[in-house]
This record gives sequence, structure tokens and C-alpha cells, in this order.
Amino acid sequence: MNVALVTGADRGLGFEICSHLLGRGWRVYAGRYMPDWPELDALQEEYPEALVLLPLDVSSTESVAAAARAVGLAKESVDLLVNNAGISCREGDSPEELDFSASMRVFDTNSLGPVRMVEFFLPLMRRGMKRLCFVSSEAGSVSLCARDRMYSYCMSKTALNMAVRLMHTQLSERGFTFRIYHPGWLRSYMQGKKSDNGKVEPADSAAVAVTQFLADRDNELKLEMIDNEEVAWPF
Amino acid sequence: MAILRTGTAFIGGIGASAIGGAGAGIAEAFLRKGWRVFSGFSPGAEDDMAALSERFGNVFGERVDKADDSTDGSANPGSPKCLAGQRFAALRADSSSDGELARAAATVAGLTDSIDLLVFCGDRFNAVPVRGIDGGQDYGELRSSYDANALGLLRTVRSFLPLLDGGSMRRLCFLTDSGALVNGDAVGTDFGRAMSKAAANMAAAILFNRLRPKGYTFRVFCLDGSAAGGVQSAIPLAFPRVAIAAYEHFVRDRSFEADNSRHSDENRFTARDGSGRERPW
Repeated sequence: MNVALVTGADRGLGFEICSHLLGRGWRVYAGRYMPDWPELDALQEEYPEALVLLPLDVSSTESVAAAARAVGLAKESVDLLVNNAGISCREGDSPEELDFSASMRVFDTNSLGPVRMVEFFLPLMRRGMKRLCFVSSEAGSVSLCARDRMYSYCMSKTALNMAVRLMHTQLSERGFTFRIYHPGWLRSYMQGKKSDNGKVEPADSAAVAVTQFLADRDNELKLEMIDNEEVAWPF
Repeated sequence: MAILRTGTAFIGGIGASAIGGAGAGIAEAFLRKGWRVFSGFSPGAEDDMAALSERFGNVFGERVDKADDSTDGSANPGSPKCLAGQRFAALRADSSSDGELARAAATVAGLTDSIDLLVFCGDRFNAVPVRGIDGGQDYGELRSSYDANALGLLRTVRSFLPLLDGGSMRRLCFLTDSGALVNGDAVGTDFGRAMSKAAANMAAAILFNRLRPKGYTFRVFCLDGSAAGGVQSAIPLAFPRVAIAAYEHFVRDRSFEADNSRHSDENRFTARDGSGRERPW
């Protein structure tokens, strides 16, 4: 049975990715950051054997290391790692109004979180599919930057894209393959509750994401950011 | 080296040249061309500042004392003893520190009504040997790099924008390097520097969108050489060629047609290198 690990799986896109993978017969480790959020419990009742709930805070090196130990103790090899966990912060529009502590938290989760995950789970991925997936955003594209605000979130996604580029350079020759996914303008839970803004339902975006994550490509040497409509975005 | 114009510059985020910091060289390039330079330096760059002080004089009349490790900004030569004719001032202004930057800005404001051009160098390099993704990252160092190079860019702009607003050029200049371009070669292993400088590029892009409509102009100079090995293989700064190239890029105006935005290079956010080539982000 193929094994996937999805971070930020409590709700929204991460939860829906888990659901789609389970529906395709995968065994899924769902990274759980919010133990009181009930959706994963309900999903586990539906998939009691295939779904494993894994306490996971990607902004904590200790938490990521513990999660990797737990999966390692189960003698599982991970085929697919989906780095989905992400946060944003409320901030003013100008540099005068920025809260740099909040900015650092966003960086720690959105940018360093995936670095931690790849570092600690790489030993568990050396057999199998060796697929590394990252949920990024067009907000991290410097080439197409049109915003005059949202510094913290945009900077964190640019930093993520840079990290993935470095990983791609280092790991491609070892057979690892990469997917960078822009989920579209989601009706996400980024602000704490499901947003009425946005054009895309997490379930719909997740269906596209899983298809992209699982499909092989003719040219794995090319690193691209592809969105929910199969459109490529520049970095 | 052609004199394009002169004025007053604040050059911040200067780190030690011994480990690849480019800011001291750029400060010297400006000084050689007759500019008045206020430099904001981080711990480790004291020797560079002392060397510039010896060559160009120092507004505060004293060399920067490397032994002073105070972190509360008191290393700044308190009440400025403004020596007539001195065009250089070194101020401790760690880009990770709101307090030091605020004090530096206040000191500069006490010496000049405005600055014409702001340069942020983001010279912080990883203090520990860098490793690939499976070599074990020091996450404290990664955060420190981000704090200094990425958030430090925003802190510096925040602190000095009021002075820049009253200047004649209203120009913001930033240093990046080829290892921090997502579309670049990315052959390095210094995740801290690459991620922080890439994020700084995004910060500068958002600032461009925000401030260009208000008449500010922007320059991003791309240093060649990857953000590779941190301390052991720092970016070489072949002064004076690269420093001169950066100076010229920062100071030279670019084409601008007030009635034709699309035909105006000033309205494009680009990174250029020492050969004048545009580099893809």
C-alpha cells in the first residue's frame, strides 16, 4: 500500500487532500495541529486502518523530529510527502504597520516548516515513489508581484519556492521528484474560519492537487508551479 | 569612474567584508565619488568601518571600537561631534534591531535634513558551516538570516523613509545575489542566505508597487556567485569593479516618460548584475 504524509491536515485543503488519497486506496498520515478540530476524527472512523493521525507542528523542529520517529517506528516508508501547512497574519499595508514577530511566525511555518519536513522525512523516503509536494502560491512569485501589501505571506512563499529550488537541485539526481502547487484563490480557513472570499472550494482544488501529485511527468528536471487549472506560474 | 551625481546616502545592512559582505565596498565606492555616506553596520563589520574612517574621516571623529559589544546602541558615538568636512559616519545599526535602526535614523536626522539614496545590503551570512537539505539545518540560524536580511530590509526602509522622502532622488537600492534567484542556478547549500535574500527580493517588489506611484525609484543589483558555502566560501567582492558597478547602477537614472508608463524603464522592477544584464527572478 502506498503511504502519504500530509501536513496541515486538520481542515481545508490538507484535509481534502487526505480524503482524496484515502479514496484512492492510500495509507495516509495526517499531520494534526489542532486536536480539537473534529473533521479528522470523523474521517478516521471512515478509514480506521488507512488513516493515522499524527501530532505535528511544522514550526517546531522537535515536533517534526518526533513525527518522523513515530513513522519510523512503524517501519513505514513514505512515498509521498505533501507540505500543505500554512498560515498568514493580519498586518498593516505599510512597513510602519508590520508586526515582525508575526512575520517570523509565518516564515517559520510556511517556509521553514517544509524544510524541516523534508530534512527529517528524507530517510523514510529513500525507497518508494520519492515524491515531494509543496503547496505554494502565486503570491510568492516575484516576477508577477502585483501586490502592495501582504508582505509576510508573500515573502514566506517566495522563501519556500527558493528552498524548493535548492532541494530540487540537490535531490533530483537522487531520484526525488517535485511538485509545486498553487491551489487557486481558496475559500480557506487561513483567517481562522472558512472564508466567504475566494473562488475555489478546497475539495475541488484538492482533487486537482492529488492528480498532479500522483501523476508522473515526462520532464522531472523542470521545476514548475502549476495551479488548480493546470496553468503554470513563473517564479 | 564617471561621476554621475553626488548627494547623501545611507548604506545599511553592512556586514563583514571578510566573510563576503559587500556593503563596505559599496560605501567606499560612494565615498570615492564624493558622496556623503552614513553607513549602518552589523556586528562584525567594525574593522571595515574603521578602515573607511581612516581613509575618509569620520563625522564622529573617533574610530569605531571593535571591543564595544554593547547591544543597546550605546556604541553609537552619542551626541554627534560633527567634524566639518567629514563625509563619512559609521553607525551601529544591526538590521535585526528595531532599536538600533531607530537610533541610527535619529542620529542621521540630527546631522542632515534628508538623504537622497538608501542602500540596503543584507550582508548577513550563515555563521555556521552550511549543509545540504539532508545535512542538518540550524533553524535558529535560518531564522536569524531571515530576520536580518529580509525583515531587516523592511525595518531599514521603515526607519529611513522619512529622511528619504525629503531628498532629491528618493531612491531605494537593494543588493541581491544570484544564489537567491528562484529562477537562477541555485547550486548553493546555504538555505538561510538564499531563502532570506529571495524573500527580501519579494519585500522590495511589494515596496516598489507601493512606493513607485509616489515617485520613488528602485534599483536591485545582483552580485554574481552563488549564496553557496556561507563562511567558508563567501561571495567574493572584487573591489573596485563590482562595487563600482553597483554604485553606477544605483546612481544612474533610467529611462522615464511621464506620459508613457510602458515606455519607462523606471517603471520596471528588475535586477541587474555587474555586466548590466537583467537577471530573472
